[in-house]
Amino acid sequence: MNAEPVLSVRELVVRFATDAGTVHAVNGVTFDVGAGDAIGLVGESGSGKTVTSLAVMRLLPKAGRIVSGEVVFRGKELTTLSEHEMRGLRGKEISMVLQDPLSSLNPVLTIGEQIAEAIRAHEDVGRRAARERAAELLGSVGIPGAGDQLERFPHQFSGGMRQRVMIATALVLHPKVLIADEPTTALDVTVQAQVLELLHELTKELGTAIVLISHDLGIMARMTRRITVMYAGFVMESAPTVELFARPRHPYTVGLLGSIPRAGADGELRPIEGAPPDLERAPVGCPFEPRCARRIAACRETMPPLVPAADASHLVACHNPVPS
Amino acid sequence: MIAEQVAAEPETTGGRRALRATRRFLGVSWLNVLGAAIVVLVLFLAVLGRGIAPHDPNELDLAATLQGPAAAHWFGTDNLGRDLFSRVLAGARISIEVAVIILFLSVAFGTLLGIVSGLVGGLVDEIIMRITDLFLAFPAFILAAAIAATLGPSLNHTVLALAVVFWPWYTRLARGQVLSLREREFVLAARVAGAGTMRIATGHLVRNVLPIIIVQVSLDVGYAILATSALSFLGLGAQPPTPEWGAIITDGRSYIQTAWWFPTFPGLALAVTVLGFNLLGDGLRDWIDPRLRGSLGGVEG
Repeated sequence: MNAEPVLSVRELVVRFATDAGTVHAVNGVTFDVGAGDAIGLVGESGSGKTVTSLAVMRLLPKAGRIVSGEVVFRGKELTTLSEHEMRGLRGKEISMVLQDPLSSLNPVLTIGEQIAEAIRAHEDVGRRAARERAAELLGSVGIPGAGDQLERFPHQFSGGMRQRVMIATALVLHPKVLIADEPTTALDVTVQAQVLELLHELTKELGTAIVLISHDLGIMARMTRRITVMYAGFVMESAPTVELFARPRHPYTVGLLGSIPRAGADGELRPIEGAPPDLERAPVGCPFEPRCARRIAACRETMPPLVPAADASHLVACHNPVPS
Repeated sequence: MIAEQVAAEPETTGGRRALRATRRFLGVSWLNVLGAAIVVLVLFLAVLGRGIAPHDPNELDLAATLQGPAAAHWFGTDNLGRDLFSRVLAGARISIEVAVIILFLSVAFGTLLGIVSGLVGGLVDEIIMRITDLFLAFPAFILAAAIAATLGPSLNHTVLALAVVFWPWYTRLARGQVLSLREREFVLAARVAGAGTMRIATGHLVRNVLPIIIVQVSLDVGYAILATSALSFLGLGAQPPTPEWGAIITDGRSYIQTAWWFPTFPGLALAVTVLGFNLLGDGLRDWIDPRLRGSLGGVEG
């Protein structure tokens, strides 16, 4: 990890007020991203990955609220910034690629218009200049005949091309941080690899730090230098990617790794028994405790703090971690 | 269907696509053809009427008052000897101009307000909606008449009064569309890219809302023309000697038994024009409705 993180999330707590009660979506998430670094947030659906990223962008749905915690971007605290100041950062300093490239594009606007819109949100350039930039950009993400493609509508593009457009749009203003929320989940496996490769190359070229959100550990292994494992809105474990795969310490991480199918491996898949907890209850103790094979009495009482396990870079929140 | 069409003809340009769409629209029903034909004819006459008109619409000829239809005066002459054919032609231009201005004002104001209302939500939405309720609670025509009468009789005031009556409909229409559109992910994507509410409204949502607004406009043109003529008929709109259809009908009303052509021809022109726009609007609405589900409410391709 670099000494100076470009984006630093500290003890972030997000709650949603619903008719049924309060949803404890994110319960003290902490992670850092260094300049040009690549980190991953991994966890199953509902573990708070997306909510965390929307909270960083300050684009939570109306019912959601950042209760406490800090989001520091290049020394600036984002949680207290005005909407106007936030708008200046979004897309320009911190950018985001959403999960579904089809619904992320407006069906009635041409590709060129949409990229131009993103540029014109921050820079006072004319339509013509914005279009030229857009054409250039499409070329850079490997869409041939970029000039003509600008006139096309999203439904005339394949899923992979659409996601390339989204990535291109997200990076057009050379942001310092790119949050990619399941950028390839909606794509075919063959296209996934290409899009990830593109994402990797572009962010490397521009020196953009990337926060990759996924439930796919395979993608994580390839793309990131450090992984933060989330469960029910808590950080369970955080370690350099290689270290995490080699010596997972948290029982949940072990379970996640055990549920990846591998060709040729003998032995069965070991799914994690049970289901994630109901987020409407105020969290008491470790949320993974009911499903955990290594639970001890303390797990019911208190949520263990995130502390260094073997060395300072490998953090784990567990009363009874798996021995390395 | 759209995807197939695109795959089959990837080189389709905007102009050719529009041409093909027009042909398909006309193929749906002969009523569409009739409506479109009337509208094209009226627009043509409105633009070129001055060149076609055999006489100056306001030229008096006291030697030839109340002449019946003949070769010299196709629609006859009025009580001051003015050529009614020329006056009806000039009236077409006035009616179209007036309708365009009324709808431009009410659509521009109403649609933008509706988009903002739907997008911002909360208190802003509540206030804007209660204001539209206030306007919609009045019978439209009576409100327009009251406004026109208060401001004083003139064609300009009629236009203003009708724009005031029309805009809340567009606000409601646009807001309803935006309420469903704003939950779509591309709005979030635009916010992620740093767009503010106004930019999303003008850069994105206007285009999504446009098809349904265009349909409503085509339906309202007829109503705008009719309402203008009605207010003029009541003496609140166009003043003599302006050859506005409603005003001509008012003048001719008392001659219906002695010179039937005097009120009849402007009346027919009005009826046919309104019919044409209504047929076109109905046709457009029926034709575009199933497509709206594709381009606005759901997913294309």
